[in-house]
Amino acid sequence: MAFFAGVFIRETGVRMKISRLLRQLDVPLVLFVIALAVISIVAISGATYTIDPVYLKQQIYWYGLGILLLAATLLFDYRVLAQGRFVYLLYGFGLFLLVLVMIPGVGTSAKGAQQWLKIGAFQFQPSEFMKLFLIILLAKVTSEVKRLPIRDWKTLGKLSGLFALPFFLVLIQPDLGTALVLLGIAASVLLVAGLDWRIILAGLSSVTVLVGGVLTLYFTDHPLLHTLLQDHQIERIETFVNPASDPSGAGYQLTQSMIAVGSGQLSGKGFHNGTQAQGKWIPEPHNDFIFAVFAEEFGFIGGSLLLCTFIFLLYRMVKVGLQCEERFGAYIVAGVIGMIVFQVFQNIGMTVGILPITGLPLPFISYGGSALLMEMVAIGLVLNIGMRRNDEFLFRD
Amino acid sequence: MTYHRLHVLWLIVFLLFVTLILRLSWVQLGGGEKYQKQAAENNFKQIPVVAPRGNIYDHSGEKLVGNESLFTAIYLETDESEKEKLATAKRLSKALKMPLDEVLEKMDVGLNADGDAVPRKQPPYYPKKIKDRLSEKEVVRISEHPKQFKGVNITLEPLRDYRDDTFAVQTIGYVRPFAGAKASLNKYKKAQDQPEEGGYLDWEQVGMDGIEYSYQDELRGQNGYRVVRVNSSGKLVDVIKEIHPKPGNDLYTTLDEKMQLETEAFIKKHLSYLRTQAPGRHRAPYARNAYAVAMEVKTGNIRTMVSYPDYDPNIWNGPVSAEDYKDLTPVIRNGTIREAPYDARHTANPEKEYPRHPFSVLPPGSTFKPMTALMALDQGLIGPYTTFRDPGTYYYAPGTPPINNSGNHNYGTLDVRKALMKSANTFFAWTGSQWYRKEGKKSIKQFQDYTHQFGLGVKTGVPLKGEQDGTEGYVSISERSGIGAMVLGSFGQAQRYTAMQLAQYTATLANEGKRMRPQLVEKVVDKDGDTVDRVEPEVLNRSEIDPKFFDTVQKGMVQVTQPGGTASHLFKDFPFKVAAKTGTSEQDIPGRGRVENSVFICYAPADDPEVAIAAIVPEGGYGGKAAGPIAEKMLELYYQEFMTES
Repeated sequence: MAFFAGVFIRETGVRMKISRLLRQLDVPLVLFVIALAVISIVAISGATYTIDPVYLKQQIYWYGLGILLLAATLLFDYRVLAQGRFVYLLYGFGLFLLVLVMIPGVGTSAKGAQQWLKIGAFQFQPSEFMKLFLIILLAKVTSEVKRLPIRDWKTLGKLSGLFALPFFLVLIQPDLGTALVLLGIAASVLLVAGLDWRIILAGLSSVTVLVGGVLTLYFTDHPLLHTLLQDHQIERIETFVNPASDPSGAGYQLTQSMIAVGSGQLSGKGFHNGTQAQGKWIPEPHNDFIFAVFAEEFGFIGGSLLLCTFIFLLYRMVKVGLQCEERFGAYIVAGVIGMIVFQVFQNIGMTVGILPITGLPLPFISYGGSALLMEMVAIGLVLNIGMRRNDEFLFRD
Repeated sequence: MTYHRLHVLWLIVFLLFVTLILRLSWVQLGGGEKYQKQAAENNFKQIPVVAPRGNIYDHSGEKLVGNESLFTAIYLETDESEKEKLATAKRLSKALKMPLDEVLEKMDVGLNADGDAVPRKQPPYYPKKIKDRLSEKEVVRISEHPKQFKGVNITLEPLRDYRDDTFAVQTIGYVRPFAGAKASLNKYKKAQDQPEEGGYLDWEQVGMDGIEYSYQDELRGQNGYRVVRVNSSGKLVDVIKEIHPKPGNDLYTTLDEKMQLETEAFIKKHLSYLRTQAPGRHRAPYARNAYAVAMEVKTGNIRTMVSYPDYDPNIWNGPVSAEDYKDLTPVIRNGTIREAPYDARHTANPEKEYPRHPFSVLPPGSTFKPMTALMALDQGLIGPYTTFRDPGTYYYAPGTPPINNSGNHNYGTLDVRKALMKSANTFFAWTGSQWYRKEGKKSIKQFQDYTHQFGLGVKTGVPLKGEQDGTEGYVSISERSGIGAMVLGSFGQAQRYTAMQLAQYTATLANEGKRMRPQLVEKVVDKDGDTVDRVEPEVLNRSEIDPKFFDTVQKGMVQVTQPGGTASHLFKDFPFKVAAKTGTSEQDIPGRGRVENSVFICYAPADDPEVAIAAIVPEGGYGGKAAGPIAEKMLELYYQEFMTES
């Protein structure tokens, strides 16, 4: 990376003073990330202190590493990413890893999906990194489009192709949740990058029709449903529609999660006092259902505080995007916002019963290395973009 | 365009979060009470079902330890007010005849008897055990009035059921609830740090000593659980899911029920006989303890091991007071493998009495002489036919105390066989001093290395907790006097060994130097009756001493039981010859003078050894009189049980 930065600086002869970079660092954004880190540590402690204290230590360690990565992301000018075909290289590498995951023996599975790569003792999810690569790539491609709004078939074809490859590779793992996050990323970048409203409307209506269609098929118990979806996906719809159908089976997770959140009431049951969390009733308490643990122990006050922290974090990002007077940077910010919003909404939405259950962690809060590191790099990119606004280089663009 | 589109994105983000917050408030504030109720009243609880521990059998399948299913009261904390919980505790206290503060401690609801808040020990969701071994009356009382005992559930719990005959009690060991065990034993302390699935329950019985401890992981089953729905009284209304416990594996020990029991009975009778003899040479008024081991020569299988006195392990079924522990001191330790004190329970102040008597780990005395003979032969100090003129009184160096034979006998011309037969101290003192003169200080180390090859001065490797390796006093004596150490060591007065060590040593003598690990378990069998593990004989090491020297020493040991030998009065009725060695070890006890301990080793049949036996009677006097008959009885039982067709 330093090599590219060097090339870039020599070519353009532009370099901002470090004092100015620091002055333009979005401190509130950093503070909100730190607030999320604190919440994460509290929530993981609540979720795992009766199970295995190692998760807590590990998460602190991941946060430490994440902050280092975030800092490293600030060291170079993000615009090097748009230079040449470098981001295609990243994207290609990401695709390569996604294919590698599928080779038995190389990739390992968890929770029924083949999504982990193991190198020595280190295990990670290539799909996490793919999110970031896709954001940057889409931002580059759309920022290079000359005619707005985007509606020419050539550009649309290229964008669809670039999106479809990782989307389907993730979908067949099968990891519907992450695939949908990729969709969310693409949608936000394209929305901000100026996709023609007509296309947006067409897309929205087709999603509506699709969801409506599936639900109709479900409620009429149409045989076509079983050819379109796999059994566990149908089960998820069933669980979502009627969690009480089987409180110890498929609906168990949702039922327990709802009881946890609901019984937290206004002020919660207190740290380490959640009967649902400590009674091990909540499945995946440190991962997919961490919000349930937090909302049970800290109630509506804690839960809405967490949501507000996310809103403030996203607001600061929107601000960075608005201040960025260059399309590439703004689109990256849009992609990162889309990624975080989609995951937060999907994760908390399933916890409180407004969305079906898909295995997605809550960004910054859930336990997990790959996801957290990727999220910290994403924040680093947004900070990088914010730091380097109003560059003289921009005026020449 | 970018900029107004970002505003659109922000609007969407904002709306999505507003949706979430509205939903959250709906669930937590609007529906909160409903869910609160579900969480508390119509909740799922997980009630652990303790897996029965595996049974313990003797080698032929006689049951030594089993379980009995007894009623236990479990408390699942309800969401009642503290006042109501206190009232429940009071009713329980009355129904179970337990003090109120104890009931509250068990319920762990964060209250004391005065209704003040106290710290909890466990999270509220964790089921608590209030009392086990409930009487029928208690069960009926609680089950018939569920409203009075909210949260109390009666379940069946398999608990250890020990025999009433104190069968090999220290060897079998005992169990206690995990909650106490984790404070005292490292194994459980560690287990608590890693509470994975299948972690220990606080009230689960775990092995504390003996086989129960050594084979804990085999004996322990896999606990099951029931997911139940409980109603507002904390009463079980519905079993949603049941994972059955998997019972632990059964152990088939190497012990023989009849041989063990009859040896125990014989020892009891024999010790009382020794104590009540008229004054004279056979009287041993302080003979209250005895330690005996019978180990098979070729396999290392322990057929009998007795640490006497023993106790009834059913004492562990209830709470054990400090007073009880005091009473257990002389009986709880397995004296065949470690130090156990004198049985002073009959005296006014036992603790004052302990230091006035030898412990179970004793100088082997003359039973060590076969070892000395082997070493002397292997070192070339003597040959099989080297003769020595017994001076009656032997001075190993000028100005040293004299070495006399027992009864101040003079045995005339001795070779090594006759020296063993007569147990001539002078002969062995002479070899010891010769060795020192030849090798100097190096001889101490050589001596030590040889003995370790036979299990003396090292652990025998018996699969029991707390085994000790004896003491090697000659090493420290050698710092003052090398020759003194070698001379005292040569007739077993400068070292101390356990009965287990002596048994292994005797078996190794019979085995021509092949030292076997003492085994207590023959096989591990799962609940389907399939053998999951069969313990194979294990050779720990082989001595490199020439077999022909073993032959010489074995011949000497056979002479011991022949006319003219020190144990000629024993083993008269056997259809085979017995190789043996008597020992009378002396200990000087401050304030009491010299006491004599009776030690005896033997193996049989002499020409094809099957079993090796070691017996110790502290303060028993002459080896052939106190310990010898115990060994003889054990051999007789072994012969009946293992060597005759029945």
